Formats: sequence, C-alpha cells, structure tokens
Amino acid sequence: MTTDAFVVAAPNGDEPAAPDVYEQRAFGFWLYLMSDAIIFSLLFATYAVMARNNAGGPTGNTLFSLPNAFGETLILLFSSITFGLATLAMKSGEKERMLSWLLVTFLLGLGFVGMEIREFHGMVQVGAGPDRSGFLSAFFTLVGTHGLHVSFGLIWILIMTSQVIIKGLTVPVTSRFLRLGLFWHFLDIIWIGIFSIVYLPGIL
Amino acid sequence: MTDPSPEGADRGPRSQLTDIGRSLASHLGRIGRELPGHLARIGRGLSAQLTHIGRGLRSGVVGANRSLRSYLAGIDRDLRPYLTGFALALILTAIPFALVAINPLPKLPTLIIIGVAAAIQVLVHLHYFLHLDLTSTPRENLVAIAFTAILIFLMVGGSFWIMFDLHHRMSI
Amino acid sequence: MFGRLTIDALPFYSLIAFGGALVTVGGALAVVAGITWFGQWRYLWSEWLTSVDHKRIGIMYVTLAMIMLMRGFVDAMMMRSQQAVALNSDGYLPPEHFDQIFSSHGTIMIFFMAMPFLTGLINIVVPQQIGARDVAFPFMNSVSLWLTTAGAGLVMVSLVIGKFSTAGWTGYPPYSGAQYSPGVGVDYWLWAILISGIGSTLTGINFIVTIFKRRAPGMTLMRMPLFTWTALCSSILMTFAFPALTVVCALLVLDRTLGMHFFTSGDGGNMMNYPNLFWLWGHPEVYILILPAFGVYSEVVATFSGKRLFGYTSLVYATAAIAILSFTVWLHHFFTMGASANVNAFFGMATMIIAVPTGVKVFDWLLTMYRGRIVFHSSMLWTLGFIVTFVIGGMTGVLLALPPADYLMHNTTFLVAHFHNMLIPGALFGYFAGYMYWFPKAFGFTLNERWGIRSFWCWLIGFYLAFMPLYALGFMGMPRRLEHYNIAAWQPYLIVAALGALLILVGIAFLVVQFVVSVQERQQALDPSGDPWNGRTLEWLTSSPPAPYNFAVLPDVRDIDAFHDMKARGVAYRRPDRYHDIYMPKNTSAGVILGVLAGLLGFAMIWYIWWLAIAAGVGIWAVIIARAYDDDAEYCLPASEVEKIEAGRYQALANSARTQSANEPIFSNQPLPESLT
Repeated sequence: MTTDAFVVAAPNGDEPAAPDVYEQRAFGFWLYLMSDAIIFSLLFATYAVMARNNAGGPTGNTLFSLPNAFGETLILLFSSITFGLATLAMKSGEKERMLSWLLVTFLLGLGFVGMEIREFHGMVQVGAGPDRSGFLSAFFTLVGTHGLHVSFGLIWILIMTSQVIIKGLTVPVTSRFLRLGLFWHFLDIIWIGIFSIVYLPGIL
Repeated sequence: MTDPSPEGADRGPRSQLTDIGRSLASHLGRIGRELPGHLARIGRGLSAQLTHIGRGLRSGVVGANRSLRSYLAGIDRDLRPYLTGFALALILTAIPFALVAINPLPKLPTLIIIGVAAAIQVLVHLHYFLHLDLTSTPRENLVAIAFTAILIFLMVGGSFWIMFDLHHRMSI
Repeated sequence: MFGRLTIDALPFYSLIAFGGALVTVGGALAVVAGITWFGQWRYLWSEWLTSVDHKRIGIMYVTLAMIMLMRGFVDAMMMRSQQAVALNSDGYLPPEHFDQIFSSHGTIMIFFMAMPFLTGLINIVVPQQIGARDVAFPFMNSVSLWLTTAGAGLVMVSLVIGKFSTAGWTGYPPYSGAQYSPGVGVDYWLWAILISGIGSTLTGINFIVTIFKRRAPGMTLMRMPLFTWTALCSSILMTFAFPALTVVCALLVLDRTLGMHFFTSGDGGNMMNYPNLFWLWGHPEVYILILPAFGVYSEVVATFSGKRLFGYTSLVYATAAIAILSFTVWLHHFFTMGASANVNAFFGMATMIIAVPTGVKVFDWLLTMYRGRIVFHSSMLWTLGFIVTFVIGGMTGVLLALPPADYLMHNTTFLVAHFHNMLIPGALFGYFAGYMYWFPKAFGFTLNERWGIRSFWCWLIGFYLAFMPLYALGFMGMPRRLEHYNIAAWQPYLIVAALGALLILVGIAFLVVQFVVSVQERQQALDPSGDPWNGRTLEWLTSSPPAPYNFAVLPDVRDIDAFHDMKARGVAYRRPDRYHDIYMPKNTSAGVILGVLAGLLGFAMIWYIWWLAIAAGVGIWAVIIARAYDDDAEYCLPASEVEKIEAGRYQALANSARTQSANEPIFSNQPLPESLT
C-alpha cells in the first residue's frame, strides 16, 4: 500500500538524472509563500499604522470578542493537527484514513470561515463596516485577506479529495497535497500574527 | 525551423474544449458513482479511528501499570512532532489570551509577552508542523525564508520608523 | 447590464482623442486582417499563442515591448511638442489630456515596454545559458506572458473606451482616490498594473527555481554567465518587491471601489502610507529594470573584446549588493514628504552607498575592454554609449541623494532628466544591445549592422538633445508635468528637447527599417553555426534558432565562459554516440485563455459590470482548477526524431565552417573556430 515508485521524467540513460520536477514545484511554491508573507507583512504594517485611526467611530475594544478569537484560534490549530494526521496517513498509503482526517480538517476550516463571516456581518450591522474608518478598512482587509486564503484552501482540500479518489495516491497527487500542507500551515502562522497584533492588543 | 509539432499542439481550440468537456464529464460521473461508497468508508474509518482513540485513552487511563513513558514511547515516530508542536502551541496561545482576559499586568509588558509568545509559536509551527530545520531542509528554502525575514524586518521596520516619524511631524 | 459604461465613453469629445482611438482600432484591425489574409490563424494559435516554449514566449514578450515602445513614444512626442510651443499659450493639448499622456507614458514605458523587454530577453537566453532544456514552470511562464499582455490591452482599450488616469504613473492619493478622480482613468491604471504585476511575480518565481535547480552538471553558481546572475537577482527582486505593488494597488482599489479609507483625506485615511508602500516596490523595480541591462553589457563587452570578463567575482558580488541594498533606499523618492532629518539622512546615505557597486561594475567593464581586441558591433556601440552617458546620470543621482539638494530639485525636470538618464542609456540601450546581440540566436539570421548603427547614433545624440536641457531647466526651477508655462527663458531649452525627441523618433524608425531590411536580406545573413560572434557562453552552443529542447545532450561545464572553454578544449561540437528520448511540455491554450479572462475581469471591475467580473473570476478559477487535474502535460520526442534534428544541425555546422570568413569581415582579427569533425 505504498505510494507509486518515484516516477521521474524518463531518465536518459547515461545522462545525469532528469530534473526533479516535484522538488522544483515544492521550491517554487515555497517562494510563492514567501511573496505571500511579504503581502501579509505589509497588510500588518498598514494595520499597525492605522490602528488608532478610528475617525471617532468604534474601536477594537468595543468590537472584538475574546472568546470568538480564542475559538477561531483553537479551530485553526486543531485543523493544523488534523492536516498533519492526514499527511501521515498519506505517507503510509492509507487512503481512507487520509480522507477522513482531510474531511475533519475541511469541517474545521469551514467552521473558522463561518465564524469569521458571522463576526464581519455583526460588525457591519452595527455600522462598523470597512468604510467606516481607516482602522476598520485595515482590519477588514487584513483579516479578510486571511479568510479569503483559508477559503481558497478549503476549495483546494475539495480538489485534493477528488483527486485522491479519482487518481489515487500518485506522485503528482501526493506532492500537490504536500504543497497544500505548506499552504495550510502557513495560514495558521499568519493567524498567530493576526490574533497577536489585531485581536489581543485591540481588546487590551 | 526544424521543430516537430508536439502532439496536442495543432489540435484546434474546439477539439481541445470538447476534450476538456468530455474528461470533465467522465470525472464527474466517476466521482458521482464512487462518492457514496467513499463516504461510507470514510464514515466507517472515522468512527473506527475515534473508537481507537477512545480505547487508547481508556486503556491509558484505566491501565494503571502502563507508565506514561512507555505510553509516549509507543506513539508513532512521525506523530511526535505534531503532538509536541500542538502542546507547545496550545501553551503559547493560552498565555497571551489568559493575560488579556485576566489583565493582571500593565499594558506594555502584556504586549511584549504577547509578541514574544507569538514569535516563539511561529518558530514552533515552522519546526514541528513544517518540519523546518537546519539539517534536512534544502538550503535554498532556508536562504529564501531567511531573506524573507530580513526583508520583512526592513520593510515593516522601515515603514514603522517612517510613518511614526511622519505622524509626529505632520500630525497625520 | 453594462455597469457605468455608456456611449459617452467613446472619444468623440476631442479630435486628438478620436485620432488616437482610430489609430488603435485601425492598427488592431489591420493586424487581424493581415493574419486572416495570409491564413495564419491556425499557425499563430498552435505555434505561438499556446506555446509554452520559453524561446517563443520570449520573442512574444519582446514583440509586445516594441509595440508598446511605439505607443509610449507617441506620448513622449506629444508632450515634447506641447511643451515646446506652450509658452504663454495653451498649446494644442488641453490639460486633462496632457495629464493622461504623461500618466500613460510612464505606465507604458515601465510596465509594458521595459518589463516585457527584459523578461523577454531573460526568457530567450537564460535557460540556454545555464544548459537547461526549459524553465522550471513552462505553463506558468505562458500565464505570465498573457497576464502582462492583458494589462497592456487594458491600457490600449483606455484609448478607445473611457479615459486613462491623470494621476501620473505613480497615482498618489488623495488625488487618485474616488473623491478627486471619480472616473475610470485611475481604475484602468490600477487594474492594468495589478494584473501584469502578478505576471511579473510569477516570472520571478519561475526563474529563481530555474536558475537554482536546472543548471547543467558542473555549472556551479560561480560559473554562471553574468546575464544569468543579473537575471537571478532581478527575479529575486521581482518575487519580493511586486507583492508591495499588489498590496498598494489593491488598497487603492478598495478605497475607490468599496469606499474604504486607506488613503482618503478624512475618516482615518493615511495618504502618506501610499508613497511609502508604492516606493517599497518602486525602488526595487528600477533595479529590476537595470540589472538585466547590466547583464547584457557584461556579455557584450566580454564577447566583443575577445576577453574574459574582468573581475567576475566582484561583478557577482556587486550585483547581489545592489539587489539587497535596493530594499533600503525607497524613501529617497519622497524626501520632501516631511520626515525628520534623521530619517532622511539614513535613506540619503543608503542611496549614496548603492551607487558604489555600480561604479565597481563600470570599472570591471572598462578593464575588460583594456587590452582586448574590440569589435565595434552595434551592440558594443550601445554599450559604449551607455557607459559614458549612464555615469553622468548616476552622478546626478548621487546629487539628488542629498536631502537638502533634493528639496530644491524634487519634481523638477532635473529629476525627470535623471531618471530618463538611467532608464534610456541605462536600461533601454542594454535591451537594444541584447536585441541586436541575440537576434540571430532567436531567428537564425543576423540583423543589418548599418541600420543598427544609424539607429544607435540617432538614439544617443537624440537622448542628449532631449534630456540635457532638462537638467538645466530643473536648475532654473521648471517643475515636471507642466502643460503650459509663462517663463520665456525656458522655451529654447524645450525646443532643443523637442528636436532631440524628433531625432529619437528617427532612431526608432531606423530600428523598424533595420528589421524590415534584415528580414528581406535574411538569406544573405544566415547564421548556420549558431555562433555568429565567437561567443563565450552556452547559448551559442545551440543552433540558431535552437531546437525546442535546446540541447540534445546536456553540456558538461568545467569553467566560467563554459562554451569558450569547450571550444578551447575541442569538445564543443562533439557528436554523441546515441540520442535519448526527450520529454517536453505540451502546448496549452490555458495560458492565453487566462490572459483573456484576466483582461475581462479588469475591464469589468473598471466599469462596475459585476456580472462580467464574477463570470470572469469564476472562469479564471475553473481554468486553474482544470489545469490542476492535468498530470499528463508532457509529450515525448523520440530519440530518432532528436537524431534527425541534430543531423541537420551538424550539416549546417559543416557548411558554416566553409563560409564563415567570407561572411563576417569584422571578425578578420579573430581566430576561426576549430575543426568541427
């Protein structure tokens, strides 16, 4: 039940080993994540610069809910673990176990996005939408961009699920799954930044 | 130019689209047929999983002669980093949240502790979940993340310096 | 149904605008008609538009750059002629139109002329220089090309439907915000650079991975050609700097479209954050533009001095230093925004420091030429013109790096002269040199030298005439972007500048003539050996044009100037015993479809046609997801096919040895290549 033998583009006899496309994809994706890290860091910087610009409107103190943020944090942290468990299952070739942990991860991620949408909706209802002040524009953009990334991750989880079902644990599929793992853990890291820079100081 | 047409290259757009449509239909059909079976198996697998965990927990609790160390030693090699990382991350999350909830310290020390805990937790995630370490990670990846870290320091640090300086001088 | 798009968007309000639209639409129709007349749609689609071959993609990039050079230069001519006559008069361009012209001039020249030009050269050359068969991500390469083209398309469409931005190529708020620029102009600008910016980020990632992971065996980093080194550093800058542009443009889009308050005058906006974020991108951007040009100069100087580059290690370290330091100087673009002396001083010092590595490079090039046997090929002339003129511009840069001096000269024509001095003799001359140097590699025949040299002189003298007066005008206090003025003393200078622009126009015309003549005379200028200049680096080992796979057998690299080393050891053209199957990526329409969808998305967001925006967005995701299911994206070129291609190559080589000396009199002082059998 191991994954397929490592398939490289046809080795050319006495030529040196063909380029490892999966290593290249992993490195390329890592570089993309680095560029994404720059994007987030600049959104963080903008948020920090604008954190006090509430234009006489509501501040984080009145808007943010500590239990909500804690819940979202735990959900994402658990989802990182369940994703890790899915990865381990995949590495030992256990398709069913992998898919089950992947499903749990999806549900947790969906819960996270749901909580976030509810939070945003609530804020808009009380007139604290992104067009109310600079502070709120920065908040919605930073946290919303993260939420958007998580949503794309959820779609990617669905794609991986269908690929595992249709194609099985081929090398392209498993390498793609590992890149999703990089993405998913990266988003949890960004979330650490968000609760540490946005929610906790905001509530303080 | 002496280059042969690669297969699939001189097929017009219409036939390419038909191909895509056909393969999409067959994939969807297959998913539709196989999904119920898979869901059933996943459901069974999940419940077996949870039962297994439940049994393990129960035996760990009930089996008093089974020492903690041998229990931990029995945990799968690959699983350990995730569990260790999970435990550390929980602690590093609980501390800042507790500090804000209870608020025993003045503001600045609290913020510093939040920041330090966050920085450490990022490293925890990088090491235990992303398996980043100085020996097994390819060198280019390490250089890339180091370079990114430096740039973030320059860009964010520089922006802070500039914007807060402007704030003081220009009152914006 | 059409958002805020109405019939008023068509340019019937002004004769000049109407003329511009007519030329744009007419030009596009002429191209479509031409392709249809010659029955080349199938060929164009299957061999070019859907190609994932880095060489073809590179050629398409350079083609885009040349077309946009014409458009951007028309803007320049209009500005120069307006300023030459607008003393105490309105000239012929109303202010709002003039403002669109200087905005589109900068935007086009940087994003749609310079970036595609350098990306095109990197695409054609770098995989060959490192002995690779392709880039790391051929499909993503195609996507980058078509995203860039979509951005250029949006700018061109703005000539016909709606107006362009009047906020300059930098688009500072609050002027560029919804309150003061409520029309579509700034939105055109934003979406054009957002879309093409993503293309550039992807290119950066692609080439970092290619250069790190796909070098031929034996090619360590310190054996790579200088052009590859500069391409690597440029790619690193692209990957890490463009995110800043993406952020700042996205924030302005949010301000304008969703009423947010990042940069507004009130409600908690911080408009000073805009220049901060913009130039965080903008300064590395200018180094992205110049480094590949420096790489070209390194290659050209070495080849046409017949000598190895002097100080290879120092050139590499200088390039790396420039790349890193480029992230530490961005505030010098807004010294006058009001930061305190300490902040200004820090960035001023950093700016002066960054001039030093470039100086090192200039000395290295001069010392390469010293005691070399110089061949005055057109690409060498561009290089010599660059060395003299760029140093002048560099010195004015160091002058501007002093905050107190900058307070006097910021936003005057002195600044305009400085950055054109960097970009034209610096970057553009380098791209032209690269174009003339590598043209035979891409197409199999050399460009006509006579017309190339004529073009060079027109450009060089035209540049001096067009921009030296602007330095003087800057000292005399003339601000930039002036639509009319009332100081008579300025006019003579502006007339000279307009004449310079005219001379450059002649230079551009000569480039066109050069191309046409070269195509007509190509049979007499064939490059059968693939090595017309007795080159030193691996791209000259392939045939001209190369086979799709570049190298049938990956070269074994032993030294810097790998090809020169192979020739010296007599192994350059050794025939292998047997060939192997080669796997190459399949062509795909997904790239061009993504480009079209991205263009539609941009257009829809600009005009608030929400249903189209959603449809295009969903379409983009559908294509990406569909592509993610395709794990069979390669085709096999069987060994027999490879052998046939290579046999043709060796036949051409054998023929070329006999005809070499007859065809290339300028190489009379060079030794002939070794025996090929």
